[in-house]
Amino acid sequence: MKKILGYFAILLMILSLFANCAKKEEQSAPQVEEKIKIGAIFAYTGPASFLGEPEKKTAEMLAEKINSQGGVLGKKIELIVKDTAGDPQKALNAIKELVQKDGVVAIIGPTTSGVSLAIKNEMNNMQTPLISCAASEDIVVPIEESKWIFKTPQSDRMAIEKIFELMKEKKITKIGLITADKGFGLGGAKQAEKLAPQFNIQIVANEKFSSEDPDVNTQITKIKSKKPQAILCWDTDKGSAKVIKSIRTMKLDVPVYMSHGIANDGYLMAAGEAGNGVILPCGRLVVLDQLADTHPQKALLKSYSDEYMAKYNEKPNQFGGYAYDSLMILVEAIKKANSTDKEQIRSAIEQIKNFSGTAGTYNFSETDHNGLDKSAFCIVEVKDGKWVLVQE
Amino acid sequence: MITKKDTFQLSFFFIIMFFLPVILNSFQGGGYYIGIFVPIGFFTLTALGLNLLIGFAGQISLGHAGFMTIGAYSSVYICNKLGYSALYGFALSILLNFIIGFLISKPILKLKGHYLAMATLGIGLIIQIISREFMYFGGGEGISLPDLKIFDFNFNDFKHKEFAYYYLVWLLNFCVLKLSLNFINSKAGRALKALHINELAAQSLGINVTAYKTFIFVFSTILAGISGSIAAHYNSYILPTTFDLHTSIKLVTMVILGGTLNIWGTLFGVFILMIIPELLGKFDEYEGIVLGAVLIVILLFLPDGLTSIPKKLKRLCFKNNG
Repeated sequence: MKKILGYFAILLMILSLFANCAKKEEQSAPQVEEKIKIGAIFAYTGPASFLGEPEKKTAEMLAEKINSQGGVLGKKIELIVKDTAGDPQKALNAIKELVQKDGVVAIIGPTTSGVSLAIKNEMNNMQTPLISCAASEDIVVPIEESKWIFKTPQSDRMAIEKIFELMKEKKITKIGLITADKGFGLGGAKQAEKLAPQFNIQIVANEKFSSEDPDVNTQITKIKSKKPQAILCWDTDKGSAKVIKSIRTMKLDVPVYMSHGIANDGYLMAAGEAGNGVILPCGRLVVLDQLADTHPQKALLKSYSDEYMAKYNEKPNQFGGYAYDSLMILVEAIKKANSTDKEQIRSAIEQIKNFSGTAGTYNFSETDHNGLDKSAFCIVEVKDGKWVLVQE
Repeated sequence: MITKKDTFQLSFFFIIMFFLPVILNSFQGGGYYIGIFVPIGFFTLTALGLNLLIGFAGQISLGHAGFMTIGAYSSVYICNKLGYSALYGFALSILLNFIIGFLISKPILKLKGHYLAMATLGIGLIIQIISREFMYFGGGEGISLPDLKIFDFNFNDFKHKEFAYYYLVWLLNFCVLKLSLNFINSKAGRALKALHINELAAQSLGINVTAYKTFIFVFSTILAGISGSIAAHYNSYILPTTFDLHTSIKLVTMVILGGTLNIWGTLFGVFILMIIPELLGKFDEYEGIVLGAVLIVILLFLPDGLTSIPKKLKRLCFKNNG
């Protein structure tokens, strides 16, 4: 009797395994849904909330607008926003929940480069498109490992090329490099080290700082002793403000170049008077008023800015713009694919050409999952606590 | 030897865990729910080892998350940096944890009570700081891992890789459970129980206290290492903060919640602490407070854990009747 029961149990187990396999095939068949679910993960709390919050607000505003205009493919979109707090572990849990439980067709975000890199593998595993709002080029390079990953911000590589071009014009050959020891900063350092020889630039000092350091006086003193002709600092707003304050304290009197990661008013507030004189390449949203009326991006930027002002009564920043572009590109791809199938959406994004966004004009391809080129940057200088356009 | 009751419970457990994914998969978003049981699985693996250490050897460790980190980074080194099969990663994880566990168990297990807790806590923190400062492994930003591949079997080729991981961790758990049950019902297990109650008395009876303590400590670090390796593969990414002090405290809470002298209790403890946040929404920043509160309440009112509730109830009824 016991033996028979045992055999019976084993038989049941084998059967259930088969049942599982059959089930898997069934699930892959497209389902008819009334709403198109789109996931969004932003760091709207935690250290990067200055970037994540406008992204969340923008995405929600835009989703509302799209729905009021009749939605996509005749269906309303449902935006499910989750907080990462800038923590990769939370982001990993969030994307699993979004894809497997909520069944989203694609995800926009996350806010920071580090988190984007952390979830890259998992998104590829789950075969769901991700349009990141973070800048590091490593997010979409190498392309073989980024099949399902796209991003909207201008790459750090292009920003550094732009800065090196400026330096070359000014005959700067020796620079001191100071970067954060995390995602965006590390990516910038890597690109700067790689690109410097091409522009005959020598990196005489290469220092890192942590977000926990109260100031970076030690690093600046080291850089000062190497007598660079200019400083290149790579981090987002808060860290960069810390660096510029230390540079002013240590009286290091050379031109300072920074990343597009500081292009929001958080930097101006944190750096105060010390922040003046910094030169950076960035998107055109911060200098919207100074753009010529004929500039191709002006109309779009103005409409985004006005809508955002009307809804939230505060100025938008470029990070919100990245979220704007991510969602618009995704919607465009869904329209183009005329389907909510993930693979079709993915290949539709690769087909998007000449798409005008807040950060620039996107031309995606099978090998370029960012779609922007150097024309997406203008050069801005900080003067009297304001962003001043230097080169359009 | 393993008792009849245990054998029955083990088979029951095996059948339930075997069919659980099938049941879960019939729900919408089944993959996600199976996915919840994978972390439960690898935390169980660590907690089972920790249970032997806390409950049977009477020692405490607030640093087991550190050993999970060692396991995870061993896998990173083998699979990502050297490009070898994941099995070597597990082997290195076991070897490293064996060596490190053995070396530190010598001085550390001489300590008692708060001092032992502090020392293990320190070790956990040291491991975390080293992994953060080691730029070769990506520093604070963490590092990614390739797919888990055992021989030619790639875990990520499944449509729901959760299935493969589920059966891997729970099979391991089953083996460790059987091993632990055998162990505690053996001579060594009885020796450990004696050690737990009174170390001096045990020693005077000729029990080699140090050897037993070392053995259990090393065994539990090895389990933590394997669990860390699997966890890293499952997340496909590992950070120094994935297994931090919080994780260590959570593990101890799981063991104590379930009841320290009961191996099955550990399963309850892990299950409850992992499932409740899933049902009630994440605790997020309140996690520390919640865990602390649970720990205090359990230690004050139910020192033998949740599994002692039926016994307590029985005793209460008995009293009323009498």
